[in-house]
Amino acid sequence: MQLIAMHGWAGDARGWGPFQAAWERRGWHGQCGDRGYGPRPPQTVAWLDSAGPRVVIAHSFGPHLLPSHVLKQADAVVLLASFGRFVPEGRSGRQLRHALAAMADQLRGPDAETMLQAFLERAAAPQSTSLLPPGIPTEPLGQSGRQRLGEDLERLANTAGLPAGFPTEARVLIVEGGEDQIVVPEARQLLRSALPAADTLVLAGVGHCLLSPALEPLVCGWIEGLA
Amino acid sequence: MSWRAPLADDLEQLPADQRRQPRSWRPSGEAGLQSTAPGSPPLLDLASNDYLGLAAHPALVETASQAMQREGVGAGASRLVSGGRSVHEQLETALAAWLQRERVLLFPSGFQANLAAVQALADRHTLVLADRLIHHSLLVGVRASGARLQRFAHNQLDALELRLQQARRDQPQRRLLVISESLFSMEGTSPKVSELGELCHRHGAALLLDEAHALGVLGPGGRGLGHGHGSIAMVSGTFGKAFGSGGAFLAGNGLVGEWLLQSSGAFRYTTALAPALAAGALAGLAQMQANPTTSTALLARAKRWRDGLEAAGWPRPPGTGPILPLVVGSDRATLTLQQDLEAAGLLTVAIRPPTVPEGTARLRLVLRHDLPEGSLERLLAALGAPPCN
Repeated sequence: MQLIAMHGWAGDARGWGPFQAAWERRGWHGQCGDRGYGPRPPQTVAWLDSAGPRVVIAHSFGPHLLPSHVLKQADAVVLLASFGRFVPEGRSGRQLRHALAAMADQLRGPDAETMLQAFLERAAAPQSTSLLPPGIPTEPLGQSGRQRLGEDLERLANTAGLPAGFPTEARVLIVEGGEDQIVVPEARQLLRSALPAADTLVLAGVGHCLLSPALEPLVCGWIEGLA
Repeated sequence: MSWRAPLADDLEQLPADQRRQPRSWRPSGEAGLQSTAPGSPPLLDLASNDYLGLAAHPALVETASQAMQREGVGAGASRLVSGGRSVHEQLETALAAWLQRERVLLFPSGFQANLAAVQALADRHTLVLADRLIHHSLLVGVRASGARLQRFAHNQLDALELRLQQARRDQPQRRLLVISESLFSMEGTSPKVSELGELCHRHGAALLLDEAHALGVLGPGGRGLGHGHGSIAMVSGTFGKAFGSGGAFLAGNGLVGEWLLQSSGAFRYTTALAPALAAGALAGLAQMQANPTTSTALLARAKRWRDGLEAAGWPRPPGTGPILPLVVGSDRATLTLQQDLEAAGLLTVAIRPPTVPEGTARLRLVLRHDLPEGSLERLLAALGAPPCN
């Protein structure tokens, strides 16, 4: 079994710590991509030639950050609090588009770290940010990280559907947070409609970061069932 | 007189064949249990309340194990001292969202949760109207509250309404509490919860609904028969049954939750639920959400079993859930049947008076989601013809 994991906007590879430990226990090979928002350099990922199912596991904007050839060759995809199109069309998306524009402005100014902290609080809610794994807000934001966050915010605002190379024949598990304050219900519904054959799970009482000790065993159990 | 004498007297009056002896078991194969006594064969489990077969599910075992590694075995103190863990809050938040109740509080056991629930909703000025067959823990709660107790015939809402009318005529301002269960553990029966809630609302009575056996099995997505009924003041549930873990909870609105937090001795003065059990319950809840059709499949199977037993000449077990009481009649015949089934590899439990009325001794058959195909046929073959045939 090979796994490639990708974090979402304002995340980094350290967020996969609990998953990596679970993969090692199972003898699976895992790689975690990193966009390089924080002090860690960008980390690209690629499938190994070895046999065995190839599984992508991605949080939020993560699938859009992966190279299309990686997605294309996946046998299964786990989408955690993710989306195809982030901003719904029409009037309902207008408020969200304004919020994203305001975040982009703040990123360019002195309030960037405050904005990121507020974003993570909403992403973690209803749980506390103290339950989040170590991530980029714990360190000062560098110029390159700031630039990538800004570029990706624009990409995120312009997402129109499933990312290029998405393997529509692959087995898919969609996990949603019942209290997600980041991905609006319409965007979640669009993803479900785009992948009607997917297994779908809505976890009650957790938000966008899906902070539950039950998540990793549940996802790993689903992946084991692929074999 | 020695303090020992009353205990000895009590025990002397208990006939030898009515004395209970605990046995020890270990999980064995598919939906199986094996006695730890030397040479005991594995038995098909038709006795436990592990309705969804989650207690040994790998995801629960892994989640609980990781929690134990992180947090230690015990919480070490009560929630209001230093025993609170983030997993407690995560479980309370998840349950509140799942059940659509404002507040959930965890307890180490269902017995304790029920004591706390009754004491929150009743005091010595209260009249409690309780179904005749409610669980012992609820009766102990009523006794501890000092409230006056009246019992109504099992699931007879007409009888309850008469008592409510009478109570309101006698003392219009009196605090009233109605207690029932959504799935009675020895009868397999359920009240009409919607009508029960409406009745209580009409008469200004609080309703406490014990959903210990229904959660995970009955109601939309296994959320219990009280789900969506705002007229219920408090729901009591356990993690030791369908959730596959241990511990319990109370769910209600913000007011009752805050009262419990500030005033309930059963919540405040007890060591917090072991973190691994809380994590296991969270994993059990996640399994229920991931597999919402499991409960409906279990109920479909329960219907096939009821049909099969009836077709074989046995009285149709009442209810629709996974608890199927098979009324045999006499104590002796029921015990003999239990032993015959055990010899045939099937574990069931004989329920005898005083737990049930004289002449209605029964085998309590419990379905698990993970029973292998052919289990009903094995049971019917082992049961043979009903005693009256």
